[in-house]
Amino acid sequence: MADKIKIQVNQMGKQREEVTLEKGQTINDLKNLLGLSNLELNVVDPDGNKLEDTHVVKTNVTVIPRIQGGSFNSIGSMSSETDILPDVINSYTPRNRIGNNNIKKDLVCSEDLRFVSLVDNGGLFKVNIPLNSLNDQKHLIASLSIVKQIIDFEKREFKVNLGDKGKYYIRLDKNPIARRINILKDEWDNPFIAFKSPHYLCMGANLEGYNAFFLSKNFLGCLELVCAVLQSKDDSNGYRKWKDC
Amino acid sequence: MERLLIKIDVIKKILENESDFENKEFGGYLIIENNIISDLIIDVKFSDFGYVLLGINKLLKHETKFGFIKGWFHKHPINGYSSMDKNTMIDLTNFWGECYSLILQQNRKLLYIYTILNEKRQFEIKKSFEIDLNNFVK
Repeated sequence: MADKIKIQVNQMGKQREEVTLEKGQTINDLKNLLGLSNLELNVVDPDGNKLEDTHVVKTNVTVIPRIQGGSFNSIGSMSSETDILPDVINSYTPRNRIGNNNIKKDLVCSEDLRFVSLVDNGGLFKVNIPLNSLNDQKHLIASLSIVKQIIDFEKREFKVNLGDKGKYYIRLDKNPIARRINILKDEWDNPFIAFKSPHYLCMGANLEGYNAFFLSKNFLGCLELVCAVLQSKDDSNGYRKWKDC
Repeated sequence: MERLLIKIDVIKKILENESDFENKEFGGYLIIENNIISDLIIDVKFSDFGYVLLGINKLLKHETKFGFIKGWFHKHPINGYSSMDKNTMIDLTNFWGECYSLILQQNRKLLYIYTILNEKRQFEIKKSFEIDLNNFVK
C-alpha cells in the first residue's frame, strides 16, 4: 500500500468519490481512470490552483467541465416536443476577431476556434485540423506574414473531412454579391451552414508552414480566421492562381 | 397545473446581470434540486460579443452547492442555440447523464433545454420551451 495513495475526487454535480492511485500518477492518468479523457476539464487542487495534465496527483482534486457558449451560427431553436438533434455539425466557429479592419501582424485565434479538414477536389492539398483540440493553454498563433500565397477563388469547391463526423463540402458562392461560403454535408443541395460573411477576402496558404485558412470579414466588419493548419505538405498544383490579398 | 421548473430567483439573477453585460455574453452554473432549477452562480472567465467561457473562481466558493450543479446558463445575441452550445450540451450530458441548459436569446426569451442520454446512450433533447423575460420586471 505504500506505493499507493488515496484521494478524494470531487466532480461538479456528482458525489465525491475516493480513488486509489499509484504514486507518481498524473492528472491525465486520473482522467483516464475516471473515464473523462474525452472531456475538456478544469482540475484544481484544494486551494483552487489549476493542475495540468502532467501534474503528479498528491492531493484531493476538484473536477469541473469546461463550459463555453458561442453564437455565430444558430443551428437549432426551441421546440415544445421531444426532439433528437440531427447528427451533424461539429464544425468550426468562425469568429476569431482580429480588430476592426485593422490587420495586425499577429492573429491570435481564440480558443473557441473549431478546425476542419480541408481537401481540394483533386486531393492535392490536404488540411487536417483537429476538432476540440484547443484549450486554455493552446492558443494558436498565426501570423499574417505567412500569407505568402493567396488562392484565387476560381476554385470554389472543397471537400471537408471531419473524420467520423462525415464528409462535408465547402462551396463558395459565385454570386459576388451574396459571397457566402456554404458548408454542405454529403450532397451539394443541402447546406447546413451558410457562412454568411458578406466579404470573404481570400483563402491563404503557406505550404512551407503547413497553414491554410480563409480570411473573411464578419458582419461587424471584423476580420476572421476561419480555419487553419495544414498537416501534410503537398504540391500546390491545384492552386495556380495566386494574388495579393 | 404544470410544475414550476425554475425558481423566480434564477430569473431575477439573470435580469440583474443582463444590463451589466449589455454587449457581451455572460453565463453561469445552474443548481438543480428535485429537478428544479433553484439557483444560478454567475461566473464568467471570458466574455465577448458572441462568446462566453465560464470561470471557476466564484463557483469554488459555493462548496455546498457544488454537488447539485447539473446545468449551465448563458446569454447570447442570436435566437436558438449554436453549434458550440450544442457541443457543450453534449459534453455535459455525457458527463452527468443529463443536463439543464438555459439560454437568454436575442429576443429576450429564455430558452430552456433539458437533455439526457437515452436508453441507447444517445444524446437527446427531452424537453424544451421558452420563457419570455419581457413579461418580467426587474
